[in-house]
Amino acid sequence: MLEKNELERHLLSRCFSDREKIDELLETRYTFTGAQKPSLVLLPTKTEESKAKSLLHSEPTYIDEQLKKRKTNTRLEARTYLKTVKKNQDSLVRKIQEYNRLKLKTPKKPFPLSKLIVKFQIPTYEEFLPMNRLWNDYAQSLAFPEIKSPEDKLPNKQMILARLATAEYSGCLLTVLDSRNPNLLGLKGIVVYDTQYTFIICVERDEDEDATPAKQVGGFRFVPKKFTLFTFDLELPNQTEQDDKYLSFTLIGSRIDTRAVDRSTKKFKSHNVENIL
Amino acid sequence: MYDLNVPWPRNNYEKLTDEQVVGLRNVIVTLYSLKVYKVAINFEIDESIRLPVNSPQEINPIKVPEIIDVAKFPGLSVYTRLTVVVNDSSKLVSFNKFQNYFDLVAIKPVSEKALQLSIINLNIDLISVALSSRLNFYLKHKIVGQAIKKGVKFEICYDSLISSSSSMSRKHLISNLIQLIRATRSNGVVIAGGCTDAINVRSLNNIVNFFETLGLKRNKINQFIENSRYVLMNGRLRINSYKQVIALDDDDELLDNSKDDPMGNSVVNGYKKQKRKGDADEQTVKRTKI
Repeated sequence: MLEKNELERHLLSRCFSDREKIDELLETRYTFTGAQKPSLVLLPTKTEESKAKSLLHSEPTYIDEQLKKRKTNTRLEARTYLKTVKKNQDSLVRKIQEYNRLKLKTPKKPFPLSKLIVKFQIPTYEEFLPMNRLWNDYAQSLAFPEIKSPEDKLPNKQMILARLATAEYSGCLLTVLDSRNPNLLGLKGIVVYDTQYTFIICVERDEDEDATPAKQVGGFRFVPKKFTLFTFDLELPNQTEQDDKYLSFTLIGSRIDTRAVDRSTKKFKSHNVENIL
Repeated sequence: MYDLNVPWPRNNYEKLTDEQVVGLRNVIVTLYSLKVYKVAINFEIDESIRLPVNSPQEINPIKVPEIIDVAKFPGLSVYTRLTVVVNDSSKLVSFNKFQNYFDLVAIKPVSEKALQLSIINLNIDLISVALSSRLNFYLKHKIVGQAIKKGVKFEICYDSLISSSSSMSRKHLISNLIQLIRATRSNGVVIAGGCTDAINVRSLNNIVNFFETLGLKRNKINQFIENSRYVLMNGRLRINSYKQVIALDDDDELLDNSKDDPMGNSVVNGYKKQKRKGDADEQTVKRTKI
């Protein structure tokens, strides 16, 4: 709700510190019997006497709370979150490396990894498993909506593929099948967020002590889509226990470098295949 | 290694004689022994021949299991290719209908107009220019470059160079080859065999040697041979993917055609995989590149 005469009040609050004075002024402005001044009396605010400031002096920047509030949105929050996760992962990896470099005469105590993972708030693969289950249901109902019983015929190949091309992939369990970057081969995890040029996936922790520190920590990986092939499996719906079958699909990373939102309406075209891998 | 042109002995829909089947098999086996593992059988027809559109299983006459048992040759995969001799590309209205029945689709333009129009209008993988006779048109870089930009490659067959008895055709071949290499600026060319007889099949070293005498650099020749992979990938993705975005199956080369329906229907039954019981981690076996 707007206060009465809010604008004037706001202007006057710059000149007069006490509220009563402002009220009185406004009162006289809007009465029939009073002064009925058509203008507002604005007094010059007190300014500090300008001192000679040093060259290096800088004014503290004034951040309006309102402005700050307006600037926060989901996208920015997510961005800062991903940044902090990455920072924490890196510092934990560095900690492990430092620990491995230590040379003590007495046998080393085992590194308190599980404790530190909680402390650094590193996301775990298990946290995203429910999301993966949700995605599987979604993808099944998207790809094979016609199938109600196991006897029903599967839809045509092109139809399934066309439906999955415009699907949403956050929650999908992806494996890197092939890439120009050999370090990415075999990387496997659940998609947390699908940006325009990367898949952010959450990988499982490697419990093995001989694994590299980064593998021991797990957490998020930022996998570029360009020059990379991803694969995922999709179970067929309404299968019996004995006859449990699935289909594999390959996502061609160089061709899905759009945001998920834009992809749903995009018209795909075949291009020169030389930049696929 | 690849060979995208092993000619099908007939140019129409008649059945092969036993002799022809043996001849074809011999070529493939010879290629295999020379470490050419990806082979495409080329069915070349004239544009005037009508395709049996109404009976889909007859559109592709090449039934690979009848010719060769692929299981006996580990690593071998046999693809099918259709080449249409184009004179007037407006006749090819039904071209898109039979694209799904062949792994590769190529054209053989007879005139400059046919070449230009089919580059613009048709969705093809390969262009095969008749090199062993006199070309009745000039290959322009502008048109050829348009094709290469789209990812369509040009084919060179070394067969007529070896087998042809007349010196005229050899002369034409060499001059046409130089024309083609000039027009393509040594990009987007594919070297294929085109051998009807097993005796004309050559190994990689021989091919490289020959093209070196024509003045090509060795790395360019290797690139020409490597280009075959892109042609195959393009063809396979047309059948096996939705606009090159998502493909069926998890083959990291995107070239596997063993699971396709032999009748050419786009059903997914061949791609189903059985999940192993009590072994949920089966899928998590790490893939490593050789």
